[in-house]
Amino acid sequence: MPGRVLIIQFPGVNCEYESLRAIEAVGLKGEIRRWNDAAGAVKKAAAIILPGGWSYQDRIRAGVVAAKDAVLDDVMTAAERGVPVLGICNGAQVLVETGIVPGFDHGRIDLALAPNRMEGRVGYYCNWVYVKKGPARCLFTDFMEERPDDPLPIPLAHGEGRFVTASETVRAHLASGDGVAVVYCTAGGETATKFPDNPNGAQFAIAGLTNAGGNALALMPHPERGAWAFQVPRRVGGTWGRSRDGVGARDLFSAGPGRGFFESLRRALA
Amino acid sequence: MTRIDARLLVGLRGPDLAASTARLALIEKMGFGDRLLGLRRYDFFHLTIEAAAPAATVTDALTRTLAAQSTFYNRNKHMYSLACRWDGGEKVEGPTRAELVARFGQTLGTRVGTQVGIDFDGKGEGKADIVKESSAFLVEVFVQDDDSAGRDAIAAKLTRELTASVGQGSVKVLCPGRATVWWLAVRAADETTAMETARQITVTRRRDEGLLMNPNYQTAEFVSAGRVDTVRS
Repeated sequence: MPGRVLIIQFPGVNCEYESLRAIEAVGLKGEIRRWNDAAGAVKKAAAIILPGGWSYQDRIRAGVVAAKDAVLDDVMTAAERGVPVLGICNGAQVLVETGIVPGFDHGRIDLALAPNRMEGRVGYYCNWVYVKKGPARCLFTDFMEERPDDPLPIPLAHGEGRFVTASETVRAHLASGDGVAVVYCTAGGETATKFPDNPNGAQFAIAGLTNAGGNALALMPHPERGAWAFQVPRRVGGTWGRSRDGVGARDLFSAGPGRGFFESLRRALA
Repeated sequence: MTRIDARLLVGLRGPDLAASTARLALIEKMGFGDRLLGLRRYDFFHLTIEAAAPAATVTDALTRTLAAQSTFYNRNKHMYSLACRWDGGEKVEGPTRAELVARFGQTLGTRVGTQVGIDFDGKGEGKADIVKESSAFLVEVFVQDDDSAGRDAIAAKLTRELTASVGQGSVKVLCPGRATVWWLAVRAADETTAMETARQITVTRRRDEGLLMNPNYQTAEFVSAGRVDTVRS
């Protein structure tokens, strides 16, 4: 049995218990620790999750205040040691503002998660979308390896989810697939080019960005909110929608499409 | 044809928690405690208005429109300062910029130098002694996002509303600037050093550098506004 998965609870996050349940659903042990009481636990953690929500109420810019917290020093060191680190939504924003991902130049903030850019609307967007595996290898997307072009339905909910860089060098890296672990796609599996398939205008349709080691993932969608069959709306269609339609009451608690990210973590820690 | 240049600052009447969080992060997490004396945050809108009607009519309509809708502010929690200028005239609504700077100065100086005793009677004698020694400069930082959609929406809405309100031909509103403005009171020996400190506080290039803007999607304009009087009287 591997060690515990540490879930760091910053003030204002709201997905820590869902993340813990998803971890436990794949047979891992996890614990939630507050950001100012987590330093020791980070050093011992088998893996680290920065959950979704609004750390510090998204004041100034989503994720930036948490990124300056001392506990992130230890998270950065852990990520450099190869410890799996998953940032979901607000956690992804923290990882980007810390520079842990993509980490092309050590310690530099290469990207931003900017406000959504959507046709005909502004602000927060909450829906199910499709993603598929990107070209970069990442331990959290290991479950997608067999069918990399299969669209995976997954929920998202954010106002600032547009991966964007102003650097030509970084853009060239991303264009060649470096760091691009998960991309938004259509229901047919084509890389998304516009809203709503690309729900925020992210450059290169990036939904998840990893570091060079493939052990840290900044993921804007919420796999923990789609980790059980009952969470999948019927309108999603495809394999997952059909299986949701067909299951009996007991099977509603079988695995949903987001479970794979946590299954991959379990396999990596085995 | 009347052409009016309007600059609107909107701030909170009560405590601004985002500004407080920024100040605490800069002082306690990023080590700017010896240089950052104070920080205020405003929303800034730069509007240009072209109309056939006289300037006084248009500016009256503008202030009525601002007061009646929530695009810019909520009168229960916000204050605003509006400065309109046109050929041969100007109109200021709310506190002037000089008044805002003076109010800001009165809030400064409590963290400088030696330890100050807790001030239960509200007189703050110790604070005045300390701030007299400080040399503070005000730097205004305009942080703007890369997205013009919000500005276009504001301009379109104001164009419709002002045209209806003025009632003397069409009114055309543009919104060339919309930014978050950070007023930074920086302790520095001179203006150049203060500007450099403001840049260090603002631009996030690495985790331990800058807080207020991410250059991957935002731009920042720095304006030096000279010394700020921090002495409490």
